[in-house]
Amino acid sequence: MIFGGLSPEEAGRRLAQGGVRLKVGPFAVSVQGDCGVFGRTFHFLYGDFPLLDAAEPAEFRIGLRRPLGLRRWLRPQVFFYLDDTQPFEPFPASLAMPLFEWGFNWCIYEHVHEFMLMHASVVERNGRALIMAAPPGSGKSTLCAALVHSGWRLLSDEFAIIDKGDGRLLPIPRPIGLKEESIELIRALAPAARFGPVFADTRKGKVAHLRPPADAVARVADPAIPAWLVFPAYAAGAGNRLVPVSKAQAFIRASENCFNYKPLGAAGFESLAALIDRCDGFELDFGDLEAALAALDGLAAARPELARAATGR
Amino acid sequence: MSDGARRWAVPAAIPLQWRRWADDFLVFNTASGETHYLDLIAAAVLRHLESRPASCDEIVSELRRAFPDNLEPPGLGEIAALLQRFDALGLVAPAAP
Repeated sequence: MIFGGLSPEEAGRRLAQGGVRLKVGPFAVSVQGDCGVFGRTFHFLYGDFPLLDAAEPAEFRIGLRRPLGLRRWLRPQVFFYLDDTQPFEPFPASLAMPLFEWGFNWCIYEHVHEFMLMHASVVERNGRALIMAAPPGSGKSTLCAALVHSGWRLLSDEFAIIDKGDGRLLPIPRPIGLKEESIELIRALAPAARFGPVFADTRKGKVAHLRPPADAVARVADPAIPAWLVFPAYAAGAGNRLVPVSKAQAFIRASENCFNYKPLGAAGFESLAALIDRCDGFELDFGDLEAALAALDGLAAARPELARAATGR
Repeated sequence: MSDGARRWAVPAAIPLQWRRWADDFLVFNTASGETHYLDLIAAAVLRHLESRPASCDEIVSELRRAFPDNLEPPGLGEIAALLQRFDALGLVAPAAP
């Protein structure tokens, strides 16, 4: 059963009481929250995710709770809990959904060590993955949202999760967080895209979340082979430029975008080197989204042998 | 002892992991956890010191032998500076004469 199979009222009731357990990528996550607005938004954005049995063990037990006392009612706040710890300062209660998304990201990069984790958006076509690695503000989520609505499958907006054993990329297709002008840009480019509410006053400015496509969520057990590693950099009004980078340069830049390259030690070096072996690396400077999409589509078209190998045709 | 005669080696306690792509090399220092980019000459020097201790003079001779077509082989000063950098990064250490 998927979470969206529950009525909004039943989902809200379960969230407020014992919480719900969802399968999100390779993780089982327990979520409990007593904020009414959060429940409706969470139910919409995570509606296609498999609902797990309440007895299923969870890697992360996340709670979004309002404080007792005056701050429950006067300028109400919400706290993020992981188990019984409270790692962050409270947010205004109206921002519970962005707090959940950022807190969940934090849980993954702070606590997951069985995989190599790169700060990257990842999409897939014909079994081959395009990894876009960059710091925040580089336009990777905008590119990711646009690619997902033009024929690529969403693997992740936030993390490249790399299996250290076989080097494949594991899907974790969560909502795509878009900021400021990117929200209207994607609405115009993909009218069918389904957005949650716009949060106007977050610490990162205006934020909205794009619901992940149902087929991407359904294919959560279907990993992809890395094929392209792109380092995007958005600059308003700039021209577009896609240029190859050497394997060694790609390695160094990718390692700078990994959350756990150093802690993994020699295993991290070997895993990342194996990924670089498999990927063609590029720098993408872009000021025009549609031209950037065409350039990235061109990468897949330029290596048709990958598609044939993946599909067996 | 002159700089040219001082001997250097990669300590046995520091296993290095290597990756080569064309003339670019990456070396992972398992002791420090640091990754370093090396060009062809720097990689040849470190590989040589990984196999056996050598002095600056010996390394210069070895490079001339290994790269006979190199019109401007690195001199003693350049190799000495490179070894100082390797030493600072914990990749090499002075060896017994």
